[in-house]
Amino acid sequence: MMGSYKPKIGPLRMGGPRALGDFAAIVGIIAVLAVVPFAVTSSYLLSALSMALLFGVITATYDFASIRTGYINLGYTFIMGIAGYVAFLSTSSPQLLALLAAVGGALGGVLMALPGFRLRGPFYAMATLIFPFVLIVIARTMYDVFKGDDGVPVPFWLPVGGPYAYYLVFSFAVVSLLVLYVLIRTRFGTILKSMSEDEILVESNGINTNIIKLVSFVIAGTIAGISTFLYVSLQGVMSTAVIEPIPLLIYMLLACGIYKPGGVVWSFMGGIGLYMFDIYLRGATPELRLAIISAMLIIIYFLIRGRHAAR
Amino acid sequence: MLRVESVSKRFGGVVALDGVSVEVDKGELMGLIGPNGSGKTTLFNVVTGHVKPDNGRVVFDGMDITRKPVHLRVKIGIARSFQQPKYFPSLTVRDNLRVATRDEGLIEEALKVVGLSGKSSVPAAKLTLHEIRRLELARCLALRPKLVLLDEPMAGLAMREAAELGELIKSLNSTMGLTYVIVEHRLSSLFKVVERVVVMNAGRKIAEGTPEDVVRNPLVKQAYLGRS
Amino acid sequence: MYEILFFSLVLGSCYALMTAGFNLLLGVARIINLAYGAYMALVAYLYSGFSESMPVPIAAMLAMAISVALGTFGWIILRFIRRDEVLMIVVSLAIALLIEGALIWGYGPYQRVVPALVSGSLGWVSAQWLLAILVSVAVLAGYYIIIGRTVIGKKMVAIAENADLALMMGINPAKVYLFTTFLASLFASLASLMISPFLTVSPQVAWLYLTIVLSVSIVGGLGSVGGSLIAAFLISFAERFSAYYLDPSVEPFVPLLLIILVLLFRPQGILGRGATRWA
Repeated sequence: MMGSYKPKIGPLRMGGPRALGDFAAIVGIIAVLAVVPFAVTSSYLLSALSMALLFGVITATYDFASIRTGYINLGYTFIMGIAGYVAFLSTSSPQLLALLAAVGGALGGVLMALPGFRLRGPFYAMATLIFPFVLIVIARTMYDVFKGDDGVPVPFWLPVGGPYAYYLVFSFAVVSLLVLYVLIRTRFGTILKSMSEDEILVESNGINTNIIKLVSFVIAGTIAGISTFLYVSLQGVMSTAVIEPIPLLIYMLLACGIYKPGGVVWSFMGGIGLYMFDIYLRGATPELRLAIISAMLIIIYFLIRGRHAAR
Repeated sequence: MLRVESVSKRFGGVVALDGVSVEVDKGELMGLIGPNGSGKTTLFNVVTGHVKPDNGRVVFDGMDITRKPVHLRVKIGIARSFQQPKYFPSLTVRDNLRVATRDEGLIEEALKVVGLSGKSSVPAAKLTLHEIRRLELARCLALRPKLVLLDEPMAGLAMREAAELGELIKSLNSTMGLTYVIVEHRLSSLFKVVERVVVMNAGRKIAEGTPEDVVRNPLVKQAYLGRS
Repeated sequence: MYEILFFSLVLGSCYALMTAGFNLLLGVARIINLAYGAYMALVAYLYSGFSESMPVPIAAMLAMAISVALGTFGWIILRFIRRDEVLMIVVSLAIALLIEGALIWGYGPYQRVVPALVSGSLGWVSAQWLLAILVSVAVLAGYYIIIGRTVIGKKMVAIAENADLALMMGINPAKVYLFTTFLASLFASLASLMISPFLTVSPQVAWLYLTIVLSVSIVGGLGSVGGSLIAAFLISFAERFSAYYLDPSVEPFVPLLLIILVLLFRPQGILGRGATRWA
């Protein structure tokens, strides 16, 4: 106890004032994405890119609520499942669908935050991993309601493949990203970041950490819920494929690890890139696809290991 | 202000606290000493809510807080530092304090008081141990506390640094009327700061009084030199 | 009615066996092995593949031998990743995907039937049911004998209780971990041989196994072998009886409900120690 203190070398995270670089990156990405429909004429590619944008937004919310707080959530697709089923099982009016998907996403966020009240670290990760798998089993068993792997058909409201759908998704993505970007620069964002470093110290600063977890997952869940609504609308059916945590979750983890945890813009870009890569991979045989995905996981391993090397 | 009433705590078979009662008055500078493992840190943890006692009560400002969670105790004015200094390494010094308060003016003031104004945008990971201890103190100040519990604030500091920190604590006591309880092994440095000392051994309070009284107490000598 | 009771017992003992292996790794070696379900699927495939060209008992033994050897050998990877919890999760997930990919590559993405180890029946009780219960009971009894009577078993308990202290007492953890991995592989392989004949098996069955294992261990207490025994029967009986008395569609909700109840009222699980905040 007598002064056995070793100076703690902080892990190599670039948390400092890189605001300017981030800002330039955001403007650049938005500019490029804004002109895509002029360059891309294939409606297939355009709708694929729209879905990738939505996946990018979902990845950014994942980064915001899960990676940033240090509560690695392996069941994030559960939120998409709840949002999708709540919306598409109850209504067919587009406005109401969006609203219900947001509510469903928020509800899913609450359910994902709850285990975090009691569990931490790998225990939290394991507990959350069960949620989407159980939801898939339920959706398959109660086929009358959920239509299992075939999926609930989506009412037609969005002319998929045209620039209209793309710009709708694009503007939603820009707004969501801005919301998240502004949020992480407020005190709330600082607290989220501090949670991953030392939760006990956050409590000792007079902050109810459970509320922080809840709020962050509700915010993330709401945005992810609306993204899911658009995503499913583009895809045409709400089926178990939306909830399947493998490989989507691995892409999310990888996208969030590429640059630094908590950089929502980079996670967004990573999400887009990996989703497009996944679409490309769908042409390959399933075993090759699995092998490539698992190689990616090994890459995450080294990314994270490098980051934790100082621990 | 703070009243700990016959608190007991066991960890498995180990009795960490055995019916300890301590009172701290408003504006007081109290030292808490004892050999390693005598229950000082556990007593801190009971007061801050990190450990729930098996028996006994903790009363703060006339309010029974025995079962209150940590963050609510901070809200009513109990701030603490940790034996292993705790801080957010990747956040800047100012952001470290932003977690404690949303009042930017208060942050500037706290930084100025502890002399870290010049380092406010440096990541906390780059601070020296001496600066980290000051950061912890600034964090406590930013919480607008009534009672500050410091767990070995001088450990690992050079003689002069420890003396400086002691002066700082003393001046905060006189200017802001903060109440302190300080756990410290460096008795000579501690005795220059505190007015009253409580001595613990094996989970019990064995002596209490001014530094001079305590040093002369045979029970205290026995506790520190080992029982014969 | 008796049939339901008995079948719950059968599935419960299979759940217990498979979760015991997972929790053994978690409790003693502090390893989260998300490839556990994929490993069980691999065993089922090896066995069913061999059984096409040789008698069932020999196929079972060959599959057991290969998979236990593989599982024990897997310690080399597990030892490497156990330094960081997040990495354990990520890498074991990667291994799970590799195994799944290998199964698709080797056997195709189709469903297949895994033959029962023994055929015939005693009245309404099929012999495979009896065998499942007998094997589970025998293996778990053997485990408790190892824990209670042998030196290596006591070392395992010591390391599970307090790894640092065990190290200071001069226990060489490498051997103990290797033995733990061997036991876990044995449990997983046997459990897979017992339970797979009841299911239609496809490469995705890996995730069903993992879901069962994780559900049971969260209810029973992560890292607690005893807790997983209780939780296994609890979940198995609750599933079967809710399906029988209420409605078959209720069945998949039962584990989720139990998990939520446990997380709310006893987050460390039925027999888990207070160490839920490890890490």
